[in-house]
Amino acid sequence: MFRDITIGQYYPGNSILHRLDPRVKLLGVIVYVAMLFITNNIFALAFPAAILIVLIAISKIPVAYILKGMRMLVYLMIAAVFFNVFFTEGDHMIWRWWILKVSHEGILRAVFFAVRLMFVVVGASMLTYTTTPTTLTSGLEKVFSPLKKIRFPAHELAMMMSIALRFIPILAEEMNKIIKAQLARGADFESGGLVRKAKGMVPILIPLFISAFRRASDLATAMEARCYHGGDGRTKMYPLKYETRDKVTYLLILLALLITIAMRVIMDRFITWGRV
Amino acid sequence: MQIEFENVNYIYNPGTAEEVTALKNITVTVGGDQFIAVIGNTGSGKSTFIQMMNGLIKPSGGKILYDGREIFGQKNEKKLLRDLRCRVGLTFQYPEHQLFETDVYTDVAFGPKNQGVSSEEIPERVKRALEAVGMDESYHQKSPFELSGGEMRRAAIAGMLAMEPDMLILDEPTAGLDPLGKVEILNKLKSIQQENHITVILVSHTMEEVARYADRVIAMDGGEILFDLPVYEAFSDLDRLEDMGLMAPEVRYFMEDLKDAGLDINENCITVGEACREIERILSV
Repeated sequence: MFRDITIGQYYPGNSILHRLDPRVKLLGVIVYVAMLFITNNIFALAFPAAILIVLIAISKIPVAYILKGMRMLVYLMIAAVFFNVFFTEGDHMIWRWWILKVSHEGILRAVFFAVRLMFVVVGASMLTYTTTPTTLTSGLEKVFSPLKKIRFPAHELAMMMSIALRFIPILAEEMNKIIKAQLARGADFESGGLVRKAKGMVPILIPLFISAFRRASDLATAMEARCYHGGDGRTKMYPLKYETRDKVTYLLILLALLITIAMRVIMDRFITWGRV
Repeated sequence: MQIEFENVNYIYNPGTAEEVTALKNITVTVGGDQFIAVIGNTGSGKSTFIQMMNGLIKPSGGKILYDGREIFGQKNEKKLLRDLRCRVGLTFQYPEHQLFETDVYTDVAFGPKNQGVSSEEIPERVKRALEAVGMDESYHQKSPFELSGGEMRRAAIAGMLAMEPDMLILDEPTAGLDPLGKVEILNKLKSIQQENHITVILVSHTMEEVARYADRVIAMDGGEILFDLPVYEAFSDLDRLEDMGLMAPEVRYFMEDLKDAGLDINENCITVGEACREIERILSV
């Protein structure tokens, strides 16, 4: 039931996207998100959409796999759509009742925000789909390392993030196992009202928390047993090095950003239709 | 309680890159007054197989009949499944990880309560189940989390026993227990099986345990049942066992060596007791 959480997970492959330097991909994600927020016209979203389609095609990750990861997002999107549709003031009102109102502008905003939210998540997950946790960690560490001078714990932060990502599937599997064990004892998670259902979660959550703590302490012991003491003086088996493809990608990212800004400027001046 | 598997298949993650066939064409009947051991390497499909007996995993193909009835696809599937789980008790590996209540008594009572056992009968059942695993009333009010590992394991097994199922399935119940604790639990399971004429299915990697307690051995390899034989025949062919990465009980090899050394001995002894008697027999000739 919670087995197929694919968000934030690595999808093995050997595409050029998989082989890119993690720092390039990190910058790519940041720029991509920035592009989405620079764009303020629903039609201009076609550009980030095209980029996303090309990236997915290059990465060779099945679309069904990506969509499966989006399932958790549906509720958030529904909420965003709901608030935007019913609570946006606009010039072209369609329907009004009590505090609820529907306008052309509201519908436009709702669609725009839902699409943008989806693109943010898919865009960011393209990073984790194509980057192993280890590479991602060393990329993050490298990106943050200039901040070490002001005592920013770059290595620790990167390590924490990659451990957190690594633990998602482990805990999901553990939860699945506990659910089965309690089902075998005749537990009932489905019938009854909200309160009874919430109470029904107790036999899952308590063992899950205990197991999370147990695993955390086991991991800490294992790290200590192997003399882990933070980032100082650690060397890398595979130090990050920029290749030609990384430099080219940096240029492409810059280009995409410039195009987006140009589109915004032009559209602001000449086109009002579809603006949010 | 009788469970019939007819050409049962199971595929994990069908249609994805991680597609794995866990079970292939399983046809077997389990049940009756028997102690059955399921052996096989890790990844041989044992745990998928036992979870199907409890209806936790639905087959991808084939049919499973529980006491002659199908469950999956019936319109009251959910209710039938819950009834089934009350009749077929299953504990996973490390069952102590499922404990959650504030005290041992309430945790053991969780199963019977879900079954709808009357509140007068529950204390009786809990007491009996805990006694069966060697835990007296002094444990009732203890928190499960202050018990030792072995005690937690026993409390978790008591949680299943308290449901008084017609079939007990245990996935490596003795892994990680101390030697005495192992023997105690297995002896108890054997006596419960014999007294109540029910089925116990034990998944084990310890061949000595299998030889000592089981009547019948189902060996699995690569998702298939390699053989399903009475315990003596299971350990008669050493090459067959070793081909699937398993071994016979130690004493079986010892007897084989004696035979090779030229003694006129019945080499197919699988427990130390039998081997002693056989050696005494030829010494007295």
